[in-house]
Amino acid sequence: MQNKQYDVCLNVLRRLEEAGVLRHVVLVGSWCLVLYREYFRGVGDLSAVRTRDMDFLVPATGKMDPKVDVPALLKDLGFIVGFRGDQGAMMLEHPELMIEFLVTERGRGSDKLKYLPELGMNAQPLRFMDIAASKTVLLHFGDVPVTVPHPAAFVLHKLLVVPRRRETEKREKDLASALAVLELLEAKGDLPLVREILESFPPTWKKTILRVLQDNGADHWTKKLA
Amino acid sequence: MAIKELLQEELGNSLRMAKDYEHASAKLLRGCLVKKVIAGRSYYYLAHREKARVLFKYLGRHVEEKELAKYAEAKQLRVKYRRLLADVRKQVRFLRKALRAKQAV
Repeated sequence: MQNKQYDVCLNVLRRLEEAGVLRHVVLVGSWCLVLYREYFRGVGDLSAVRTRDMDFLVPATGKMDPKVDVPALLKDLGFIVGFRGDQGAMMLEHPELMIEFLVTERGRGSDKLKYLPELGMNAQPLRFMDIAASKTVLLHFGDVPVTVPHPAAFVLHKLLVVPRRRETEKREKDLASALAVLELLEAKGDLPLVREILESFPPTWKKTILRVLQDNGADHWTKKLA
Repeated sequence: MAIKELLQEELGNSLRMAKDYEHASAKLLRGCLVKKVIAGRSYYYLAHREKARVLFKYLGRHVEEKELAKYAEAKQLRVKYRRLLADVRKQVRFLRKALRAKQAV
């Protein structure tokens, strides 16, 4: 990893931890792959092709106390507030890192952003994010403990969102990372856990995941997971 | 995984970020507080640049601590934003170059 990016990331995580934010949120997205290297140490290596986006999921149950003004907390590190999309999703920008908060989309869903007064940020609602928060694991980035989805939950979430991705490249990226992590889960003997989580899903989700594997030349996984 | 699309996305991010840093810099308090000691007495001035000239506006003999801190913070952030904007522009140049490069066969 580039040293500059690593340092910025570590500084951000340290500040969020000291402010008490980190224990209430789950790091999701491609940055998890960096932390999974610790989980899979001795089992295999994981390439972590990722963008600068660092996404934090705020679980629905997470009541945050005390309130933290995250933009102010990171201001002196050079982070500025930027807005993305028509709705104006807030993003904390730095040349090395872009931080965004997410929440789970519920019901019929809407484009509306959710304002999080306890963080001084708004959050984009996304489908199926509950999966990422349903089974988590505490891993370390440097000396900072960070909650990330368990790799098994990460894989199933990625596979479930693949058909919903509009851009082919993102679809391919999601699929590639899911399959890479799945291989390592098998090597570590964690496949029963993947099956257990999959079994707990509604039948339509399960069907979608198995179909994604089947349609993308990963048929052998269908047999192993079904 | 299509690296080209990833770089394209990052280029878009960097271009947007450069604009955001320009806006953020423009929004900061303008000028810098200067304390001049004349005949043992302190006088405060707000120094700012207008084209090639540096102008000093007299503020008085006393300036509140809060005001001093505000200008000091703005000065620090201006320096930081300038450095980070230079980094973003460097990224833009690098990404444009990488996207223009011929792909290896």
